[in-house]
Amino acid sequence: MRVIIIGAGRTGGQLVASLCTENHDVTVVDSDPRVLTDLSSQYDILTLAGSGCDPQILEEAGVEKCQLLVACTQEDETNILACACAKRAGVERTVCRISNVVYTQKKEWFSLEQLGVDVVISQQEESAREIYNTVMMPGSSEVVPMLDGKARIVGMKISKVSPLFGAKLDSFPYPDLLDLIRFVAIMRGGELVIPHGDTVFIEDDEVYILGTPSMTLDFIDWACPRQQELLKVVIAGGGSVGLPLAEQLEDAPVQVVVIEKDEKRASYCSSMLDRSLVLQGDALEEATLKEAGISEGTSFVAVLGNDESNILGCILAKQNGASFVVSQINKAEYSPIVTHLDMIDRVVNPNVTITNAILHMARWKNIEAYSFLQQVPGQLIEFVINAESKHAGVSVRDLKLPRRAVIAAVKRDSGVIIATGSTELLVEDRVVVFAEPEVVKKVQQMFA
Amino acid sequence: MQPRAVLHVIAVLLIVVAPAMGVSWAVSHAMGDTPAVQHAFLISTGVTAVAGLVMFLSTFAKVDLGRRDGFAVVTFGWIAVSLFGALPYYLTGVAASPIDAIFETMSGFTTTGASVLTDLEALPAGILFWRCLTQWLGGMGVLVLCVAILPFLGVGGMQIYKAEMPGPAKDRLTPRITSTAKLLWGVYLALTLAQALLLHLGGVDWLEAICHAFTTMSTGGFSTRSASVAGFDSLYVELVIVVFMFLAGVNFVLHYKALTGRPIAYLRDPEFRFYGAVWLIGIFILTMNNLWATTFATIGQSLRAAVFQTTSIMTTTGYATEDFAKWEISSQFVLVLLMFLGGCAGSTAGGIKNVRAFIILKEMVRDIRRFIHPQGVFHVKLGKQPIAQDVIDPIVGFVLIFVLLFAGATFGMSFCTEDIATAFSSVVAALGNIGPGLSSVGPMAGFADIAPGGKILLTGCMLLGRLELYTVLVLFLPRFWQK
Repeated sequence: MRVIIIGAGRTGGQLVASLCTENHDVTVVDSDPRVLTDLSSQYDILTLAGSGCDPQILEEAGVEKCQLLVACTQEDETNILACACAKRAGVERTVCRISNVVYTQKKEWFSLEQLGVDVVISQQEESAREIYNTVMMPGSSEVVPMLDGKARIVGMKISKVSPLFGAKLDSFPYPDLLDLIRFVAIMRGGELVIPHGDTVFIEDDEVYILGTPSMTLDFIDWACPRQQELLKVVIAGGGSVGLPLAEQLEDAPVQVVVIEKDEKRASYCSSMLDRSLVLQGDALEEATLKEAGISEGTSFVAVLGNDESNILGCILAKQNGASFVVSQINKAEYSPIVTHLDMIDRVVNPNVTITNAILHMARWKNIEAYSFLQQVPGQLIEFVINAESKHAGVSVRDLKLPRRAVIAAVKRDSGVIIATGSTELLVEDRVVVFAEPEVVKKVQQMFA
Repeated sequence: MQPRAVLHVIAVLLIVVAPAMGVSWAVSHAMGDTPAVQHAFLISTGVTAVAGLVMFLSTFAKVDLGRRDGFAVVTFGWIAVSLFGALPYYLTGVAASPIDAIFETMSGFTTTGASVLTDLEALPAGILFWRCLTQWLGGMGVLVLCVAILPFLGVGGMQIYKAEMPGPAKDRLTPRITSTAKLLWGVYLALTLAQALLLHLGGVDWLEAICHAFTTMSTGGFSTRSASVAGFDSLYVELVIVVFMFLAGVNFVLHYKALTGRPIAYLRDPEFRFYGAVWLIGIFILTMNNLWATTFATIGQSLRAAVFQTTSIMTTTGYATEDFAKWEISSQFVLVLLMFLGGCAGSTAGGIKNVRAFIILKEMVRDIRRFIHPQGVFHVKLGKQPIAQDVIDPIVGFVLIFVLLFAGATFGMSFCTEDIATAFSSVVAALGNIGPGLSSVGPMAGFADIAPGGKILLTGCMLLGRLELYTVLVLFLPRFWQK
């Protein structure tokens, strides 16, 4: 597939990395030649220096023969214009990153779709949603929506008190549950294990399950019992992630406190929020945390400007008695280190989040969507079974799938079916396959 | 300030008021008043028109009103129309003295409705009509009317509109102030006609129907009967008047939106919701209190009296169906609180206005919350809209000045009256443009017996209240008069 990426920032970079491992033809356009030099020295890509909405540059990038264009510069207007040009030049699918929500409104005479944008992705909204899921389901380590949101993959850590601890899939205490929930993968000591009948869950296993949103929520509540009921969420940083997060949390039955250092921004947050308490102060000062009232049952989210402050803020909050702390980390290098810090319960990387969101929507041929899990190597791929497919009418057992890949679920009509060996694939089904990196290509060819 | 320009606009104002007097003469003529009364109207019309024309021609120049001129035009314009408008009362002899005549006119134009006249049934029809017409002209603002019908005021129109329209924030319906003024006057006229028609359908004769429509929509409260609305003794008439009083107390911008197909605008408006809630609470308290104190025998009677009086007082109209000065003290106190509150901004009602009270209440809650969270950032919000601090500050100032003026004027009035209730309630009734107060200025009594000094003081209070303090008070700043 030929892909054009406009904007070579952190998101663009992450996207290049993901796409290159799959051997796509990637062209990157950015106005800063130095960034391009860095990127092209790491990856096998074509780079062009210039504006992403310059028709001349777009033509040079081969916009007329390209299947996917992702516009992810810092400027919304550039992104929209680039998508509009590309759509008219014949690009199959355009993905546009938007940070200003005013552009996402729809009027009879205005919508981004009309302008030629197929998929709108807001980095801040995606990050906020991910943190929201993390805070509301503290037992989960990761939540990835699948099949247009009808299902999701949820990761969770098994502790000694979990009812899953020591259970074996063959002799699972609640066999009915296995029709509603699919165990997709287990991360054990940094190694990926695909669960089979004889797999036994042990302590510190990171288990990934797939199911409908309500089912996964119930399952998590059962498998990872909350030690403390969530009463309050303290958000350090009322920036572009903190504010939408607070807005989402206002609908949940929890108290929300936003700590913002900048006076103007704090005032803006307070004017946008309804029942949240906005404090103007430094989240890295104990006095401010005291005023925010951190205690048992408090979740703390650090979405300040930089990673170091986030980490420090989380540690400080934990020492002050927060039950659960979440840190946003921008630098990919920090993620593994912070994951090993006992103080910090959860790390969220906005670049991974948005890359996930973009790739998820970047479909071509009969591949409907892609997803990545942060801690797990491998991919979740959604395929469509079309009429001429040789897999139509074949049951999962007879599919001869590589051993390192599993069919997790099938979306038929508007319902989701958890795949078992006897599930038969029908035309127009959407199938979720989890594949380890080595077999991704094989799986793709199988369904192509 | 540019005296020439100010005089010029005031001249225009007199030229607009003169035909209104002419209409009163026509009514007087048609209803068969004595020749002396008809003469008095003709003379008044002539004097006003000639004075206006002479001033107009002698100051003829291009009018370009500045900010300060707007305040001067409105304040002196109101004083001028009150002086000329007093001529019919004085010349017909219905007012005992010039002070009484001016008091009655100011009470009319400011839509207060306090009266020095006692036996209304004995008055000539022309006078009764003129009383009600002054209220109608003053209700939506006689200068706003000039802005609406005389487009040459153009630029300065904004200054006048700002100085005369009540409320802390002036809504504009259209980019041009002239067309906004026209639309508001249009809505006002339409509602007035609708009410007059409904009253007439209920068996009220045309003159009384029109007079009551004039004084209801302007929340003035002058009646053609000494017993006020009680004189009709009709539930239908009371209901029609209650509905239109309530509407007159609402921001006219909302009426315009509703009439142009957006009635949801009422419910979306935070001030309207507050106004409605206070109204319902007021009715509930008065109904229960009067029932409990056995002022009324049945809940029906108690409810009817409470609905009418709450609406009449809260919208600062001042009609009476019951002598609430004889009610329980607690009920009277509720009414006094409602007098302070008044109607909505952008309505014809007086008082502090609901939106100001609402914002002040929220401001107080915010201050208290700040005690708990010294680092907290809180906004005073109207609906979802945060209110800027530079809007809140003048509102706090307004309420403070209102209370200070109330205290000062009550002190003044205490020299002219027998009891404290009369002193303070007459001041509230004048400052809030309500009309009747308590005790010896109650709904079934009048202002005739108040000493001349007291009448002058109250006349000033009415003007201050109608023009929302600042417009008048800026004239007392020495800086205002400096070049």
